[in-house]
Amino acid sequence: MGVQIRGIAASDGIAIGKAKKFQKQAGIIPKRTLGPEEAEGEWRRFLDAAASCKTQMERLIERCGPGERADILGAHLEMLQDPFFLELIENHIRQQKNAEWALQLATESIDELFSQSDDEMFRARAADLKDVSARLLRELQGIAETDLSDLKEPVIVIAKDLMPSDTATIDTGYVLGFATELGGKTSHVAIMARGLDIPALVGAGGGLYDAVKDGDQLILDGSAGVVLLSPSEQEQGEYREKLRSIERARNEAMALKDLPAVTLDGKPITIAANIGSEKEIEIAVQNGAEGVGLLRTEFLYMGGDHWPTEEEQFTAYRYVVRHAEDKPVIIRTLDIGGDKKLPYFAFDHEDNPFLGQRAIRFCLNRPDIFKTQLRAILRASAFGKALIMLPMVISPEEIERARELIDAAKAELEREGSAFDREIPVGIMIETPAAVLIADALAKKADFFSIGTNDLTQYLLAVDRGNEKIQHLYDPFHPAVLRAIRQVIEAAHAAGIWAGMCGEFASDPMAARLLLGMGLDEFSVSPASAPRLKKQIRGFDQKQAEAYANIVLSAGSAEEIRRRIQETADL
Amino acid sequence: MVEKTITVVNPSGIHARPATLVVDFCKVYPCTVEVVKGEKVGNLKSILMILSMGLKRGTEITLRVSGENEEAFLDSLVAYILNLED
Repeated sequence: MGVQIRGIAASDGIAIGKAKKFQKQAGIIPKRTLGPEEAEGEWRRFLDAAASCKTQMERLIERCGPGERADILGAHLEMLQDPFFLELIENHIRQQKNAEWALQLATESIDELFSQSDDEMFRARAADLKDVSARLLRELQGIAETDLSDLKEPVIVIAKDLMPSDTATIDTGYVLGFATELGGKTSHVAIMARGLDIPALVGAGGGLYDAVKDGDQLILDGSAGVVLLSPSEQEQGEYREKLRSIERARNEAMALKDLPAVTLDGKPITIAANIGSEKEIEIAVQNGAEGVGLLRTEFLYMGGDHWPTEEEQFTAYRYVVRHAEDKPVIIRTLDIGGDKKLPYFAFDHEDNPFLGQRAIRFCLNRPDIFKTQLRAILRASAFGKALIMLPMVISPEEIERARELIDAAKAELEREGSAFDREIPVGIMIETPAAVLIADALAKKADFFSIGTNDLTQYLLAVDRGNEKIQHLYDPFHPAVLRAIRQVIEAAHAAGIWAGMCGEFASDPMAARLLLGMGLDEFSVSPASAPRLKKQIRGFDQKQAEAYANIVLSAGSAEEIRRRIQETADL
Repeated sequence: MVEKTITVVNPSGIHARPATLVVDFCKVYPCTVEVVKGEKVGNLKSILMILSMGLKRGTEITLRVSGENEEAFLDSLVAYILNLED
């Protein structure tokens, strides 16, 4: 039997294949003073490295075809050949510094010039330059470019940790699965893997990376959170069989993916997708999702080393809106703070960050940052159907203040002659107990509701879902959560607006009939869950589901609720 | 070597998109092209250099060209910069 390494199950599914170890080399910079006769050769060594970087990048550009990735690489290529940059490096080498050292000094002096600037373009260029400089350094030191965009065969990626910059260029066609030593269920790689429907395990702890060699045969069970090293023939056979049955169920559901999600008695339901990066829109569409119910915009903020510029955001939002093919795309405004920090911004210390200045609170306190995002969303709204969604709302005043900023952004765009959707809907996430209790008042100010069950459960039950000791208490089937959901849906309908759900609970197969019965209008789920949910919805009768919800909801405990759901599973 | 002093007149200066345009314009010529602002001298084929010089609207700059066909190129460069639209 093979060795098992356990971690946190982060994305469902099974992968069987070869290991590919991925580590961004930190690149320790060797510093050496050259002899007077060495400088010429050292400069030539640098030029050779630059030439081979150029070839690599040109090949990459060619392979990814026209588009944003090619544009970014094109900007990097320009940087690589910039005469000023090269001159600085040459001067340092002529002053008898080795190439790596000279490169570092040149990069630092340009970076100093640029990164202090208030100007977006300067900072963006500084970031490009660092990227190029890191590539040159790896080339000089003979460290192979472990770019995940250059995979030649299907692999299971094994890493200590994966950053957004590592996964941004990933060639998902060749990634069978991910396993990382660090990270939790809500880490970047976990969310991305779920979005891309790739099995993943995170938080496996130290030792995973060193235990695996490139090319080792592995089995990754993302649902159980296990990696099997050197699995036996029998284990491989068992897992192949499991994989086949998962694929069968999936194919069955996929066969229905383009049919509408309508109940047996004719009630149409919207099944949308939760996505966390612009590329995932393609997977959402392939899975038959009717638009995006939650576009998490944090990927734009957390991946970089600067506040994303209006152009960067606009480009990403426009990409999603265009690819959604006129279906609605709900863009959630920045939900930062709490456990989500930024590498380039120092948040004030808070004793209780989950109850602190996060999400809409942060944005209203920083109208400069908020308005940049609102302008980008508005500009993207000219290219399809975009909606704005505000997170963590607790009062009507917050919606009013956000609307004032939206109106101000609209007025600016109007003056500048930019196109946007004048009637762009503005909705809110319901994820605080306060929002549940005053849902009737909020419904007068909002164009739609979307229930965020992850935070709502945590806040309603006063259970930190990251705390292992009390994880068993975190349960969205708790009657308090279910009653809150029903109250919110009823308040929305009384005010004539629709209510959706974008929390993980919407993806729970056990909850589908219950939520339908409570009157939920929209389910926003991970793209991979969309076909299965559609199949479920098409098998339910709305009227029956209502009666069923009443029976289930009259129970007073989560245990009783689960029991009733299981007993009536076949009805 | 030939040179000419002009004032930047387009609204955003030689910055952002206009800077990229100017670099692209110069890059394809075999001449050495420099821009002088006060004490600072920069290579006009370097986007990094141009951006760092802060050539805003109203800035007086001297353009210096040396190489093949330098006069003709200087004239067309001056015209190009004075006619930037952004």
